[in-house]
Amino acid sequence: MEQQKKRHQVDREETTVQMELINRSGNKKERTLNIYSYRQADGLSKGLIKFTEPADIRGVGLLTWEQAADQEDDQWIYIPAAKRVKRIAAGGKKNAFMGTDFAFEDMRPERLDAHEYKLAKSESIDGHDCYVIEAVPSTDKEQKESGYGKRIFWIRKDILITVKTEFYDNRDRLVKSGTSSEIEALEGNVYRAGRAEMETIRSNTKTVMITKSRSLSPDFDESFFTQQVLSRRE
Amino acid sequence: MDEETQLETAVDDLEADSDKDTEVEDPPLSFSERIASWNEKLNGKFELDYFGYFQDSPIDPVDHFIGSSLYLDFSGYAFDDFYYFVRPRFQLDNASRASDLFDVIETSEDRYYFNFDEAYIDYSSSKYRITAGKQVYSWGVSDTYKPVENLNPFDLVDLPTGRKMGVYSLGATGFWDKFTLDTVFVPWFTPSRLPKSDNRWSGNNQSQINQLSSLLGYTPVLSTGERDLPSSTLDNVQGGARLASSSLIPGWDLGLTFVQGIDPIGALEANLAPPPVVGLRQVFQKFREYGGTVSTTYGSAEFHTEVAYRDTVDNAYDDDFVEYVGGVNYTFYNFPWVEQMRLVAEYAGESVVSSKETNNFIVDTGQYIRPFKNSFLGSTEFKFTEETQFTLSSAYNFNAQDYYLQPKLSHKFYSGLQIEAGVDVMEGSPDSFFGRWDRSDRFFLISTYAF
Repeated sequence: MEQQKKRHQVDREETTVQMELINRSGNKKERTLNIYSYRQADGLSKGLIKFTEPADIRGVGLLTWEQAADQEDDQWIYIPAAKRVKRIAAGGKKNAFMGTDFAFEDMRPERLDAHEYKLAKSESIDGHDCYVIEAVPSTDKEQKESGYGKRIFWIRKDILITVKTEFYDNRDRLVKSGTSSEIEALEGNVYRAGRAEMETIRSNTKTVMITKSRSLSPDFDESFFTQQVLSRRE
Repeated sequence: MDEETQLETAVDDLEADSDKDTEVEDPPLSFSERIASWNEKLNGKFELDYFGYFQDSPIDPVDHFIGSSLYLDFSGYAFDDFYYFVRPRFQLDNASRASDLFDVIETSEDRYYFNFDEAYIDYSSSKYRITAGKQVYSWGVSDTYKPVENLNPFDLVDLPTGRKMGVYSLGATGFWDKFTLDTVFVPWFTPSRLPKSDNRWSGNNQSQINQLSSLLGYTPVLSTGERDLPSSTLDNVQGGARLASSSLIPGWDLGLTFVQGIDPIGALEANLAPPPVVGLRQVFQKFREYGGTVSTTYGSAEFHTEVAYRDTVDNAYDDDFVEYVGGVNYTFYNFPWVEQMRLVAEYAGESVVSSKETNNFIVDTGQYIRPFKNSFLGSTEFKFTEETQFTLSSAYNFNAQDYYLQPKLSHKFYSGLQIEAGVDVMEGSPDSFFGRWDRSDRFFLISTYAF
């Protein structure tokens, strides 16, 4: 896991994503958002998400400053209708991100220091050999705050990219399943998935994230991740 | 070779292999291109309001109000680095609340058929930001009442849907490692837009009558509508500053504010005419306000407080007082039958530091300002789905035991249309803050289409 993180993490990244939210009836809602991330010298990340479509959530933004494992992340939301930046509690990271099947914790970098990992077996997916790795929370804080008792990753052996994840609750019941596809090689042997799907088993809903554009060398710096930029008009 | 060794070998191979084909990426966007990509076409929203009042009003013939508002958003970049944002607003209604055509500085007591909510240009770098034009400022951290927010007047023509009005201003913000300093300069005064005497939201004047009766010894007949607007001179210029930090103490948002301004709501000065008539003239007092804000989180809760000390300047139109709000914002997840339940609970209070005496009869400065002197403010929001939620908002004044309630159901349709339906209820004794509007309980239906 450490090698995977080291292999694919970058200092800065900018992505435009189209999200499709599909309910149990098959009805589809689309959202477009821009995701920006920045890795500080101490390894902690800052992230900014800005919704650009649809119109009723255009301009809504979320700013996150990752903190050390024993501290709460700082998080702010921008509400364009009120022209207001508000600090929000990040304690709900197990909960759904903006009504999607992705939880807030699914959108964050993997916290290696808060989990124990075990190599379970090998398995092939779509013709690619994969390591199957189980992850369980290893700290009291993570056990309390995470929505998952266990996660299982299928990581391609050739490029160390996660192509499938299963999420289990504290009773070892499968609650969600995620897949990544349209893997593309970017600069410096970094790989990214062009398409990510997350399905919630009980509610029979699915969210698809399709990458429309991506840059691993955007020209912003840490000063981009501030409340002032978060509240820039849509 | 066991699997862990295979893993290590695979990683070593990847690190050694530097000749892999890579896709050519698009050139990175500049800062301005990035911001501009957030808005590439005409945007806006259309709102249609219906208010149905349960009781007739002796002063207002409109029992069924229908109003519409169209907001258009134009934004983009000019000359590479100057960002502009313009939001024109068009309003029309069946009660002639909007009856003026246009004015640069919104001084009319009537709404305008056309004006701008905001219209400004913005030049930013990583170290500073300069804005000029008509703007709305938000410095407070509370969810309901915000004592530190005094730069913008309010449109209170329809009290429950009161909204901030933009002011022409020059803003400059400096960014340092741990601090941000906002400064604002407002050269022209804009009064809050209050309900006129033929609008049921002007209230029943009972508290004013009571005050004057005890002073005069007889029950007056009030003549209202006169305003003494401050002139556009250098000594009526307003300004403010805020020093803020989100990293001085990790996990805490801290702010210190200062505003030197003119109260946009003002006070009512009584001018005696031959009895029983008393004329009430709206006068606008200068003040200085020193404030502080704090916000932090713990678990699923967000805690905040705002304190502001208001010092009236050079005159005796109002007391010097401290007003404060403290509260919590807590979200319950996995609540039965709902996705989440969000609770906002705040206490607002006031302490008079210095009572002022005046040679003029000043009545009822607390009609619209200083409304919450010992009050509970809150809301409970039940989010059934991403589209449907029910909110119960409330305010209760412990001193006079008057209150406001608003249950509201809202639903978003896939087409971008949102419908809100609910009831506004205000109750209390006739001379209490909410009780003066107890004949204005109503049903409302608000449709908003965003495009």
